[in-house]
Parts: sequence; structure tokens; C-alpha cells
Amino acid sequence: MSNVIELEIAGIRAGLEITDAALSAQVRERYAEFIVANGRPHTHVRVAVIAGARFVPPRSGPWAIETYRDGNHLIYRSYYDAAWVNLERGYGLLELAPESDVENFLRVLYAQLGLRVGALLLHAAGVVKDHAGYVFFGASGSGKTTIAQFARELGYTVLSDDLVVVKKNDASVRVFGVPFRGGEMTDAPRVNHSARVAGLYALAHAPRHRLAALAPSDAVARLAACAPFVMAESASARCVMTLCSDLVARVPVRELHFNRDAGFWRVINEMG
Amino acid sequence: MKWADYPAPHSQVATQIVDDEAVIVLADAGEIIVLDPVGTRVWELSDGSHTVQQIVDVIGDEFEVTRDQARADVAEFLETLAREKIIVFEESAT
Repeated sequence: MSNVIELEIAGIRAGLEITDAALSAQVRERYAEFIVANGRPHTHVRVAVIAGARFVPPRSGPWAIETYRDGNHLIYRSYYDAAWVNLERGYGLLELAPESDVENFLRVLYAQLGLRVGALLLHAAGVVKDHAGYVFFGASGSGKTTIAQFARELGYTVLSDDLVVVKKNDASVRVFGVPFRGGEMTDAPRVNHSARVAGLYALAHAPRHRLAALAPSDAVARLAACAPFVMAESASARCVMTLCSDLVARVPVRELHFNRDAGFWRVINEMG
Repeated sequence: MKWADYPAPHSQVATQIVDDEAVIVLADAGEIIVLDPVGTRVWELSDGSHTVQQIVDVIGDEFEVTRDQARADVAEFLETLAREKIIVFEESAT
């Protein structure tokens, strides 16, 4: 069996060259839905497992992920893993301790790779209903997991309760499932599926369900604020802004006020 | 700030004009702000090639306000942008 595990997420291929048997097995199991064979990955990353590896010093607060672009290089560092990737030439190195995994690095990598092909990794719940994709975006606590749970109860396909990729192409905008889970919905799916986007919805808690128009500038700002890992330096942020502006021009973006029951689908359906 | 200074975008800023409103990302602070049309026009003119006085003149003409009002409003707005590290003041055109 080859040491290279090729993943395809939202049509973007990345190969992980892993010689460590335990890590290789973990990656093959966790990302099984997204593994492809005989592909030509855009980016090839060698993964080195190093006992005792430590990078960012321990600190309190949210899990530390330091990432930025240095020219064509993506730099990534966390407590137990660190990487560089030459995004232009498509190769890189990830070093990690045995107790770590590749998940956070992959999130950061795909956020950056996506920008190069018009794809935005977005903090959002993704739902497919009647072959149409609905994207509900917002910060932690905005209701993404609640939306996903209601959607599942109604029999709709849940792409994710936390992260999706929204990608434009010539004809349409599509939402893609990703293999990354949020922390709240522990049995959330890792669905390798996509659908044409019917609408993007910024989540807001309210006493009753309603949809509100968003000014295009507000819509761009709200979307950009939900793009993880790519807003901390201006070069990537400019790409995000351009992409968000393009998305807003192609797809309806509205604010969904909802009160944590499944009745919000009614106002979405009424809007058409 | 001096009237002969040239306001220019701060290096940490990314921006996009959407329907005549500027959406500005402050990368260092992780903040995103949206400017109204007047603020957007001031921002557009703060490109390093116009002095503060020239911006005042344009705003006075385009939005039909007195020069005194335009001077006061533009100066206050630019000072706010500079405090937020959205612009810097240069002594010569860039």
C-alpha cells in the first residue's frame, strides 16, 4: 500500500505522505469518505511523527492555532504540530507529536487551498433538502448545530454542523461537505456530498422566525467574519473579500432570525 | 494630522467596495467594519495620492456641505480611521 493518502475535499486534492503506521490507519479511517485513488494531488505534504515534538508553548484560552502566509508559504503552528507548505509549488512538511493528529492542519490547509480556486471554508451548517443546498453561517453559539439537528430529524441530508466549503464555478455556487466536525454534534456526519446553493443564511436568535434582507456590504462582512484561518493577514483577507463579494452577487444572502425550533423552514420555503 | 498630509491605507487592511459601501478587514484586530457611502468616498480618496485638504474639497463638492462642515467631519473621520489603524498619514504622495 502506498504511503500517500490522497484526500479530495470540494474537488481540491491533497496528498499526505505518512510512514507512521498508526497515524496512517487513523487518517484512512477518519477521512475514508474523502480518500481518492490514483489522483494527482494539488499539494503533497510529507508527514513526520516526532516523539516529544512541541511547538507553541502551552497557554490558557482557546486552542492555539497560529497560521499566516509568508509569500507563497503557508505557515502553521500549534502545540503538538507545525507545518509549512509552499502553496505555489504544492509541497510541504507537517511535523507532529504521536499524540496529535492532522485535523487542525488540514482545516488550515484547505482554507488556504480553497481561496486559490474560489472556494471558501465557512463556519456553517450545511443542509441538502430537495437537492438544494442551504448554508447557515455564524459564530459559535449562533445555532448551527441546532439547525443541523432539526434538519436531520426532518430527514434532510446534513453536510456538517460546523464547517462547509462554499465554492463558485462558472454556472453556480455549490456547498460541499467536509470531513471536519464541530465539538457539539459528536455524531455529526462526514458526508462527501455537494449541492447547488439555494441560499446563504446568517443566523440570529429571535423570538419568532423571519428572514431579513442584508445589504450586500453587510452580507460580505458577515460571510468574511465566518471564514476561519484566512483573515489574520491582509493578502488572504483580500482574497476572502473578493470571493465573498462574488458569492453575494450570485446567491441570495439573508439573515435568518429563528427561535430554536424547526419552524424556520417554513419561512425559508415561503421565500422560495 | 496636517491638512497637507496624504492619508493612505494601513498595511494590515483589506477592503472591498460592495454597492458603494466599503467593507474593511482589520487583519491584526480580526475586525470587519462597513462604511457608509460618505465614509466610503473618504476611504476611496485616502489612497496616498490626495491630501486631507483635497479630500475635504471633494467631499464638500460631492455631498453639498459647507467647507467648514466638511473640514470638521473629514478630520474627525480620518483621525478615527488612523486610531483604528485603518489608515496612516504620509508626508508625501505614495
